[in-house]
Amino acid sequence: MKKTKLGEFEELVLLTVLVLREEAYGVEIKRDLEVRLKESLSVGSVQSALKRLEEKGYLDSEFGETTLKRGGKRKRIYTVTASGTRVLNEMKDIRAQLWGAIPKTSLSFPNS
Amino acid sequence: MNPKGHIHPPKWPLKLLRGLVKPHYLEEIEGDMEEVFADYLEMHSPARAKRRYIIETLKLLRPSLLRGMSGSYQLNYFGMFKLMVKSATRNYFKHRMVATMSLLTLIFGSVCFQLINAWLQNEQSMDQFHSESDRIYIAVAKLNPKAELSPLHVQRIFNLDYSKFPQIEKSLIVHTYGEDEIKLIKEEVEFGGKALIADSTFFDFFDFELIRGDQFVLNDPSSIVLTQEFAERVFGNEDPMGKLVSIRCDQTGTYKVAGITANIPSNSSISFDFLVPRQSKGFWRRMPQDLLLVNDNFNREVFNQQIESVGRENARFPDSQISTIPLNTVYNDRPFNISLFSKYGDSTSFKTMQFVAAIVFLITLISFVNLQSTLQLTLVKKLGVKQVMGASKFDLGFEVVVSRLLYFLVASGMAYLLYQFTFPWYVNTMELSLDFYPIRNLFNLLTVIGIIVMISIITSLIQTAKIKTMQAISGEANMLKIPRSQRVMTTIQYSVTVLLLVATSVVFLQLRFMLNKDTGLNQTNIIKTDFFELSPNGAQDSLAQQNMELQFQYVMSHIAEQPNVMAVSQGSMPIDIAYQNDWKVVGSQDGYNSVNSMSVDPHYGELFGLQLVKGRFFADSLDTNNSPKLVINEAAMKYWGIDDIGQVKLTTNSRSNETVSYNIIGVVKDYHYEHLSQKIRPLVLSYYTYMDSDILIRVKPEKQAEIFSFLEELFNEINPRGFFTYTTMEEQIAQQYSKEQQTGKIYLALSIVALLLSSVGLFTFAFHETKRRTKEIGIRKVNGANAGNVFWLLSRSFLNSIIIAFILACPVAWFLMKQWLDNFAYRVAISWWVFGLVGLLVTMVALIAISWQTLRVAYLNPIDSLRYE
Repeated sequence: MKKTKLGEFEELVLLTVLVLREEAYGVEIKRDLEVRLKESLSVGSVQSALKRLEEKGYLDSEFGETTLKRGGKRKRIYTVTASGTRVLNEMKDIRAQLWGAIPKTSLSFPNS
Repeated sequence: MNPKGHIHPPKWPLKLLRGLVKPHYLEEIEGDMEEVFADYLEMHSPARAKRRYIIETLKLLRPSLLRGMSGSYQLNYFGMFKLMVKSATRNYFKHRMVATMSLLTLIFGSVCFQLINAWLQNEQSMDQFHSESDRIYIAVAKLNPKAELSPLHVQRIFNLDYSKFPQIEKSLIVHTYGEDEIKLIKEEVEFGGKALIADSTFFDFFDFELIRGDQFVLNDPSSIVLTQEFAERVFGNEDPMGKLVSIRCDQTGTYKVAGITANIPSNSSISFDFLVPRQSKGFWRRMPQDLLLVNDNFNREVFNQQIESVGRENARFPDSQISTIPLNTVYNDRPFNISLFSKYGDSTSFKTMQFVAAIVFLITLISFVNLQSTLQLTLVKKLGVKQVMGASKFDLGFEVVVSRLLYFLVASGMAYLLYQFTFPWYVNTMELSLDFYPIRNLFNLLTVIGIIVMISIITSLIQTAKIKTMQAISGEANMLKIPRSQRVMTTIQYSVTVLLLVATSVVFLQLRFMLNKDTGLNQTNIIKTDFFELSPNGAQDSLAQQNMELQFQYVMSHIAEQPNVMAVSQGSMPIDIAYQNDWKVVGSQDGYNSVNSMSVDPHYGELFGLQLVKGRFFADSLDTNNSPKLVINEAAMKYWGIDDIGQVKLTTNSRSNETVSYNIIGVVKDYHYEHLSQKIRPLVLSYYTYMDSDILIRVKPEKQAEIFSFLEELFNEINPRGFFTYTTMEEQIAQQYSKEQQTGKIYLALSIVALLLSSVGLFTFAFHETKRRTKEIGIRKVNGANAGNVFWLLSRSFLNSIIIAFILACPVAWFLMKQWLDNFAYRVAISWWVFGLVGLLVTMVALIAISWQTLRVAYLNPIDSLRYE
């Protein structure tokens, strides 16, 4: 547990990579997140999150195909590694446990 | 078709990215950015899209994406730097000889330069530390148009009231009493020191730093201010503040020490040991100077016109002219000689020294650059290999820079150490007054070494840039040849060396000539001393006067009785400055002319062995003190066109108001009484002495020591608390030529430096050249050349550059030294053998430097030299 240090934004990026599968490259991740979060993100923030995750070993990447839009540059397609999936599952479990432990009376409060 | 397809994002953010972002992220991020730009174009106008694109790019600049930061395995330069340092150190030890020589050149040259530079800076900053220095003027006057300008007490003599002029802020009257004219007495012990008797405005004019007391200290007439040095001399470790001391000169008085100034800095032309408030006594006998502090409305020309004729209202001075001189020009122009200033500058020596500093710098620069370039030549092969292994030109340049930086650091440190050791020695030997400023001097040294190293870096970089890899590896002969530019440089160095050596020889020859020239005087074994001082309040105290006269008779007769004394006389030593007196021939139409005059007594002629051409010298039996009789020299006789001295009388206007005619009783043969740069000028001797005139004694050869102890005893008998002082004529003559001596010493030191540095350069060339041609020499020897042939083959090319240098330098040296000698009325001729000797010396030293290497190679067994490499 101690070793998994995953920031909130990093977790979102990691999940988006899982969702997008073959289409998981920088700008596409940014677009998808922007739609879901309803706010605009900068390329820099997404890229630096990706690099951090890759460094931590939760993401893997390889060059993909090139499109006209990218001016001849290749995409870098990200895939989630086994340790990445494990860490996501751990986070989900912890959250679920925490949600389960909340007394019923408190739950109505945040929805108001 | 989308019209926006032709719109491209701005270029510079991309360049920025390429420069800063980690290279292996670039492709992906660049692609992303293009895509993002395309998105923006669909949403916004092109301008807005570009703006957002730029902002977006800037947002990319974050630590995790940038080059060379956190956890990166990217190359930074530290590793390379470490390697360079290591390889520079290895190079140093591999080429120990050349490397050490260039290091020594750098240290030695920069220290020499800084020693001279320290003096130049001191001279340049002379009196600049007074914040008002360019607003201070000194009042001067001429009693008649032909008289010399002198700083008289204009205020009193001509009744000039300075407060009437709005452009004058303050005035300062200051009397100067020399070390033998005033005594400071503490508990009955007398201390001689230079005193300034000054108005309370002294510290408004001058910024001498007060360590104790404030700048109003002279307002109190019972205060006295001492310099720290003098206070230590008088009080030792005691705290001097508040102690009572008394002074004795023509006035006496008791004062309380109320201020201590810091020691007088070496860049002050005005000096003193203590300051006495002028208002403490009503009258001081010494002629003071009037100094004026002016404000911005002051215009010197206008003011001089205003006051020029003020003095003419006084009937005694109908032709007088009053004017002012800026105080800060006095040091260099030396319009008069007064004891307020302890030293005067000399623009000729300043220029000479500037020239000398430039030469030292140039020689050091050439030597160091040449040595380093030669060293670089030996590294050519190594550089070639490095380039093949993938080193870029930048890497090679970086290595040069690092190795020179090491030289810079080591040389600066050692030069500063050496400088600290040589500085006191230099100040003593050259008899300079110079303060040591550690920080400023270190900074200067760093600058000099820095500039030299920078230039050598630039030349080496050019040299490295020219290297072609293939040529370098194959060790192609042309690459290793010493470039012509370096040879030219060495030739220039040798020219300068020859020039300096010739100059040194001529200066010393002239000096010897002047010291040994027959002046027409018997000038050996002559002692000058002084037993009596101006008595306080002059003739008013008749009892003291009588007492002193008795003592005087006692002293003079006692000295004369001594068996070892050959003659005693009172009068001016011929070397001392003669005073200017105005004389004219009675009855002639000409006005008064200023002529050198000296006061003597009847024994003067005997003492110095003066030879008479006409008439007689003064005699005790025929003349009395202050009688209107004169002895003149031959030059004076010619000057006034006198044939028969019995027919002509002279008169003067400065001794008394009434016109007294002086008979000329004799003419002496011309003798040199001034510096030999002067022709013998007219001289008038008059019998006019007083008890305080100098006593001159001629003693038997080798009996000086006995006479000194006798005189000292006698002196202490008369002045129980005073200090006996004396000088010998030999000392004074040496003193007179001390400037020439100083010039000679500087030139000598400099020529040795130049000769050494040039030889080091030549030696390095020989070192390199013999290495390069080792194989060639082996082949020559196999084919029958003997050691002599080889030696000459190698040496010839070096000797050629020396001969060229010699030919270039000789005419220049001859011309310059002729100019210098023109300053002297009596001078040596520049003979050809000076050039011959200098040429021989330079060639000899050069040959030694070369043959160290060439002889070794010449005698090498061809088997070894063929197998070389």
